[in-house]
Amino acid sequence: MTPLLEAVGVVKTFPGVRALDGVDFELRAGEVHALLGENGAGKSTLMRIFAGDHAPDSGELRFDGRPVRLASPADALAHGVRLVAQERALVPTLSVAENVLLGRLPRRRGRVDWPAVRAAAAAPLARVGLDVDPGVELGLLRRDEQQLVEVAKALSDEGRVLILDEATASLSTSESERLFEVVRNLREHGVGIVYITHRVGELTAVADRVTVLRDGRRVGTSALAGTTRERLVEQMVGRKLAELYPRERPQPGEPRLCVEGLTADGMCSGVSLEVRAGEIVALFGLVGSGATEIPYAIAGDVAAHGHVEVRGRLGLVPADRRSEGLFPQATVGRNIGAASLDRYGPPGLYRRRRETAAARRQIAALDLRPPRPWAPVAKLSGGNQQKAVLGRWLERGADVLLLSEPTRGVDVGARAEIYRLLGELCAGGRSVLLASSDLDEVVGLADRVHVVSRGRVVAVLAGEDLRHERVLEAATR
Amino acid sequence: MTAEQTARPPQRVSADDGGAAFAARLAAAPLARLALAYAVLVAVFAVTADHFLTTDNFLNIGRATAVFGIAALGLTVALIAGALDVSFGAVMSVCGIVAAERIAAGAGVVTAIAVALAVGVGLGLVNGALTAALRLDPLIVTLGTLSIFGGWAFLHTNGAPTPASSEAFAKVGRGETLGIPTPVVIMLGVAVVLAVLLRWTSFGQRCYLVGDNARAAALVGVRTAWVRAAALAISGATAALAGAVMVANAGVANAGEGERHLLNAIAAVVIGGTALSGGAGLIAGTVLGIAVLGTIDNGLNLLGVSSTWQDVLKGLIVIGALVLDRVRRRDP
Repeated sequence: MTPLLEAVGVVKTFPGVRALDGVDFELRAGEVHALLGENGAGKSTLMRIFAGDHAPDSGELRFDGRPVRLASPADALAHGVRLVAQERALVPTLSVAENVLLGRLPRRRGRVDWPAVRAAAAAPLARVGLDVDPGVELGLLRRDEQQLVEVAKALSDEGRVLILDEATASLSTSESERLFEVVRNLREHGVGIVYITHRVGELTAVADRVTVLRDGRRVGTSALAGTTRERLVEQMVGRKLAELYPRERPQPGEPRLCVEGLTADGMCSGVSLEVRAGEIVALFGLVGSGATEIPYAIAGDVAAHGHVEVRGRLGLVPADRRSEGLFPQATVGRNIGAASLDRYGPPGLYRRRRETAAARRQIAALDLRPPRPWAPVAKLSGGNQQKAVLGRWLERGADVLLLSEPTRGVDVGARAEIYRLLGELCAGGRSVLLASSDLDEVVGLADRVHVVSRGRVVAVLAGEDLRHERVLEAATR
Repeated sequence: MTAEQTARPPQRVSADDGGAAFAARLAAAPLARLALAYAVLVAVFAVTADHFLTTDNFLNIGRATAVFGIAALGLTVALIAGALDVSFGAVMSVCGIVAAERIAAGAGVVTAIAVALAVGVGLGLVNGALTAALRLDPLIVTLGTLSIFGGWAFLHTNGAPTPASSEAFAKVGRGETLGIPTPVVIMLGVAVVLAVLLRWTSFGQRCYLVGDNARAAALVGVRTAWVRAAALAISGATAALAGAVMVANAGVANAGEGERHLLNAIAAVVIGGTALSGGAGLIAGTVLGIAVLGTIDNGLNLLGVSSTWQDVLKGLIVIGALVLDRVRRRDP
């Protein structure tokens, strides 16, 4: 059978970077072909070449076996390539129907034909199994529903190739499950789907084949049935999965953080937990469960009542790095020093030299790259930005670290490093409270997991009980 | 694309940075580029306009810029902290009137200026309190207080001029200190004080944090409302000083007089490279911005260009500065 879409020996270089180095890729009709790789592996570049956004330096693209040149996104559209990019390309203040047909509203005598808009939007919405009123404002929909609208928009005309780029990045487990169902359904209808992700865990739910990219090269393509998760991760990062999580753990020491009956309006109620020195305790919950907000309540960022006792200094690493963690216009050094400005001089005064020196120490300890205090933080990769935010609290001398979604938007390699760091911090006697909706992460990392559902702790799992199924079962109960 | 690039291991750069790299960073620094642009501007006028390149003429430029320049310096601090204070024009008017009234009541120069400063700080704190209490954008709050303070100035004086006829006070506006016009000395003094404040105190550094990302600043324990209020108070203080100098120079205080300096002061800050969104900027940049504006006005005057065309040109320069700022931010 002739593949629907083929890339042969594609090379693409940007100034200073060889993003793709002779990559082959093949997509058949009616298959879900996952494209797996860390950030920077070349996934997005390859996708942009399929979408006509970039032209390859050399190599060939073929549709139905015939070589084509895609000079613009319009060419790619004409070949039936539909892209659902990571960033939403929807207008929240317009109706669902208008969003589905964005830029292609049916007209009659020069004016928008509203009855036709509703009718034309109905089919793609049904195709993705979304049962909402097409006239309703998009912004009122849940996130997963909005994501499905995005897919519907991509399929509102003759799409044959659907590219989903990190489609589940902002979805919870159950929301993702719904998207997977739609993807499987589209596959039945002969659509070829490129599924780009760095979450190995979700592949079993959707993918038929998987191609792993690393540093702009194809590491391998295999049928999903013929490979294992460990092997895929190993291909992605070039090392074994077991090494992802730190293994050695110190004997837990004194209690460092005691929370009793913490209640914050609309977030959590009656949350009690304890973290000892050298422990990693996790709060796990699906998105919307309130788990990731609990650290904010503990840190006193939101009004809450209940009893919180901290022995030592508290540091909060917020969930949304961009809007809550980083000082985007500042340097790496400033991002590290931000919580410690008082300590870089006599009372009230500030000496930049001291901040820079302190930043250098943290940069070395965290293996942050580039290792330059004056590099603009905005230019760093997500993982290195997260290290800078983490380093801020280490610089401040925090004994108890509260982390909310610390590896969201962080690639596997940097993720492993952050895990390693957390392991080292605990070995050094610090305490970590980790709130996360990443199941792998909490199971792999934590000594004890508090499962959160609707703002309450519904189960506490440790030791033998701390397994994926048990955690997920408790979270969805 | 950028994500792919940044995720790559960085090219080797020696930790201590060589001379060439330093020179490259210097050339990329917005301040150095602005200084270069200013040098070109001076060179152009030096060639085209007679009597441009004289000490007296540069003292003239200084005299013409000092009033809005003093206000622009405090505004820079507020803007770095993320608060675009547009009320300072009205604060200038109000404080100018307050100073004139003190002088008319027989108070000394120091007392009159001190009272004006206190009122300016108070009005700045009002801006800060409203911003914090109503959770509004400082721009909106200060647009409102611009109108309120300015309106008070008219109500209070019935639109009539308030004479400030004291010889000692007039010297503040027209005299010379060490051979330099006193207003220019005051402006440079304010510049030094504020530059030191921003660069060498933890409060100054917190202004950058709050302007860059107020939420993140709050999460690292910065009391953002206080920092903003203090920055607005500084802007109020320099506006008061500018208003006093303005009145001392004119010998009379009029409602609505300070508002005329709004655009020049904001333009100087923007040309100086302070980010309109906050979080970045330098006093030195604003000083250069003031010099650029004053030099353009002066040079064009010498060339006989009408003041209307000068305004048009200045407007274009402000827009150009903002475009450059955006380009720089997108691709540092």
